Amino acid sequence: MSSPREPAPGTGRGAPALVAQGICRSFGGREVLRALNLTIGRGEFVAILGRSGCGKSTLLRILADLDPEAVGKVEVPARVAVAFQDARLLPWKRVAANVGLGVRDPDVEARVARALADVGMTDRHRAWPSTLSGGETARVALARALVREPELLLLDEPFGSLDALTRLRMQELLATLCARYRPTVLMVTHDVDEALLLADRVVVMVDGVLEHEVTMGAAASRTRSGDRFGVLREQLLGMLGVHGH
Amino acid sequence: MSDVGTTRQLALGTGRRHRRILPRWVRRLAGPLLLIAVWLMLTATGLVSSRTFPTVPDVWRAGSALVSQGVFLPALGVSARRVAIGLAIGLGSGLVIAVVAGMWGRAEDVVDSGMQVFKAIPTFALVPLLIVWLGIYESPKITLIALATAWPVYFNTFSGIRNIDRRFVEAAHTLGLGRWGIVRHVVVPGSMPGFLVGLRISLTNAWLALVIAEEINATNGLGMLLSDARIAFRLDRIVFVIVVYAALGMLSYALVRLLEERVLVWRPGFEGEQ
Ligand SMILES: Nc1ncnc2c1ncn2[C@@H]1O[C@H](COP(=O)(O)OP(=O)(O)OP(=O)(O)O)[C@@H](O)[C@H]1O
Ligand SMILES: [Mg+2]
Repeated sequence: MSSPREPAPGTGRGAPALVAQGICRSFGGREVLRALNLTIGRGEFVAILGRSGCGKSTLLRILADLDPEAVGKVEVPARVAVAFQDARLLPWKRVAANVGLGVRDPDVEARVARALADVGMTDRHRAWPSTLSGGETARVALARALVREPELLLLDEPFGSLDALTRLRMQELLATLCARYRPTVLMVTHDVDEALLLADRVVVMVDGVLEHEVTMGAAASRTRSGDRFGVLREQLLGMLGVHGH
Repeated sequence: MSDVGTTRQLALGTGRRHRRILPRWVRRLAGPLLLIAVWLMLTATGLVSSRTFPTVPDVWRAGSALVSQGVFLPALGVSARRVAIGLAIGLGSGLVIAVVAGMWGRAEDVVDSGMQVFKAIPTFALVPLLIVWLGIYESPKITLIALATAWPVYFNTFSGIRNIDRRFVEAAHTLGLGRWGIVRHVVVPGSMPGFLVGLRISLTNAWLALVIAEEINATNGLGMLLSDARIAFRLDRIVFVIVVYAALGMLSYALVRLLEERVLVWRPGFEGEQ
């Protein structure tokens, strides 16, 4: 299950949704990404784990076309949506306007209403972002990403700043919405459990490349009580250099 | 004695405490009214002689006379026109320069350091130069007002644009907004608080510049009323014109406040319409 260097391409759902080849990025001579390769199949949910500062956000920024200085080849679909850890809702726009921003569709309002309903924020559509709680903010950020009906959804620790309980709720919500809309997802997380619960495949970034990967297989393993859950958890923690649990 | 900490009584009900009692603008009006009351008392009781400072009724009569003689309104019109044109030019150019410097990286260093020099020169020291260049009629007056109002708007808008969080620009980019969309949805609203601060200073400066500008060849406008009153030693008229200046200044301040309340509702802690 742990294949060195070259992660296998997508899980066989036709042409891949994302191909990144030989991605390199250094900051002032310090190499952060070193010829990193990643392929994600259509509809696949991939989680990236890695130590803090290893370059996960850097990779996501490159894939989101936010880094003009990166080297390498990136193929992504036309519709890519990003949800940042810090939400980045524009404070001068109400919730609904934030969600609908940049959506080119005569029926934006109906789409926004549906997206807000999906995340359970219908009654807050006229609120200012500064008045939302952390969990509400994360939900709006998720709605803003999903309303674009993305073919590729990039999530950078979308629930990183939430308390444990809200985080569990949000994970359930994300799983439900992904089952409904089947986007291709690449999610960065610090949380091994979160990765195991949500992803089809978990990759581990070490020294600027995706060093290990774990494929989840049957959905049955994706519950905390499943037999494999504990085994995979130990394995991933080991890959992250955490031992003795 | 007691080891219980402090107990605070929180405001009861939904709103803030004062809201229901008096609207904010009524409370704000109390300050000026208090000043007038003090003035009334000091002069009516003879504590201050009316030769030093005219009484309220004196000033009222002087003002009514100026209005009924058809002197005041034309003068006000001339001065208001100068302020309007000068302000329009000043605000417009300040804004344009700020946007150029703020949006176009290569222009920033040159433009901004240029404006710094400009700021270091006391605007009113330029009056002799303006007279030599532009004569003594409308153009030096309007130019002076424009100069005095351009830089506050420039500096505050520029720093407003500079201080926009880059992360919002990135977010807008990932939402599929182009350059124009980013200007419209991020740069303009994001720099609005700065612009409004600049606007407030500029309005204050505009009336100040008007007074200075109208000392050049005062043949019309409020400045003429003032210099005529001085020559005739009419304290009541002098004070009347001063009161008019104060009212104009407060009116423009109130306008900016109104604009801020409309435009900045989104700011945390800003109590506006819900
Ligand atoms: N703009 C930048 N300039 C200089 N160094 C940077 C910049 N952006 C990132 N880095 C460096 O690159 C490395 C990777 O950063 P990145 O944000 O991708 O880490 P990460 O894996 O997302 O970490 P975390 O899990 O803590 O969010 C870090 O050491 C960081 O200091
Ligand atoms: Mg990160």
